[in-house]
Amino acid sequence: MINNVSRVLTNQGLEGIKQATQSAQPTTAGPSFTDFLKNAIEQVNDQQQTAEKLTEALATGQAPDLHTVMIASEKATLSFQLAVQVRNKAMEAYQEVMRMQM
Amino acid sequence: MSWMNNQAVNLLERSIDAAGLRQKVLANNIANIDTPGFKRSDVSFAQQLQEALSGQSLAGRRTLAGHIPIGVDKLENVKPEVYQETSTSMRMDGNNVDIDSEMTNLATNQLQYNALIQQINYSFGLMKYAISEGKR
Amino acid sequence: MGLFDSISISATGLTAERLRLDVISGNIANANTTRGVDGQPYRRRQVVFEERAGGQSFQSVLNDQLGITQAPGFGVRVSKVQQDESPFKLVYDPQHPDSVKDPNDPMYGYVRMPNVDIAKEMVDMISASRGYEANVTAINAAKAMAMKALEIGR
Repeated sequence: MINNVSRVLTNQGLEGIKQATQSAQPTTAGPSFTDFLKNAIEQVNDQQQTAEKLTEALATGQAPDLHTVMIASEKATLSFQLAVQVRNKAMEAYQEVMRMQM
Repeated sequence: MSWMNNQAVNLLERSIDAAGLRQKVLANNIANIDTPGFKRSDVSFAQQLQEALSGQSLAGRRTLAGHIPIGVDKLENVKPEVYQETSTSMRMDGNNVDIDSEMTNLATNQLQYNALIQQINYSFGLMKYAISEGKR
Repeated sequence: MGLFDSISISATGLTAERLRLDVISGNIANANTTRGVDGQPYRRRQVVFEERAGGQSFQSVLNDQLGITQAPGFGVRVSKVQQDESPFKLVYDPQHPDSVKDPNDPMYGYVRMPNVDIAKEMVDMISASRGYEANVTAINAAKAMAMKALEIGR
């Protein structure tokens, strides 16, 4: 049984896996998780900057509309909170995995 | 996050902008109620919005940044427009502002603005609930 | 577009209607003034409203050129206070100190009274106060909307 498995793993198996991973690239529709995180953090940063700019404009009386400022700061807050929560979850997951070792 | 800029919130934002613009236009109409030759203006947004919404059969929901947007493009091009009404009946001095209809429009617009603000608050509240996992 | 544009626009309306009311009050007060500042009887005054144009900011000029009417307007202003050129009213009153004293004058015994019609002034006054109240309502509406907007996210 083990010999059969090892034989599968040697020639055809490895080739097959290589082909599978290469052909899987175009069919996976989304970016990798790292890209997703990077994107998300950039967006959080953008939201924060927009909110800051609008608050500045509010202070100088140049803001376009009151509701624009309020909505932008609310979005910035929410996205920031979400980012923090995601980080918390990631930390928890990491710690749980670390606990699993021993 | 792209989930925060989904269609509902986007729609609400633009509608709120349109209602705010309409308030300014109506205030201008009311200020010029005795100006000879003045023609009233108004804002058209709901009409174009409805056309844009009914025109798309399926709005794709984007869960990842890599998804191609379906039917969202046309919605983003809908902008509130200020138009002037030059075809209504005139008083002797050429002014066509009707104080009663302006006051009614003012009240209606205010109610709509408040309702939209409440709706967007509701959307944000849902997001907050999801983020805090319902603990608060 | 500023933050409280709507309130500024309504404020211009308030100012204009207030000025109009002042002029009307002046007319009513001087309805019987046969000896004005220049020796002539008091001539009725009236205000001329015109739509206020925004400053010559780049944005407004650009919008005009492109035909985009995104700006909602800037309210109203009183362009001038002019005198009504309609003729004076003639009242026959030989006892009046300002009546024509010359017997050869065809207007002998007539007094030239100001061309102020009290009834018309009252109607104008009602119209001005109605316009004033409408602008106040607009300001209240704008304020209520802004207060509601402040509650986003609370």
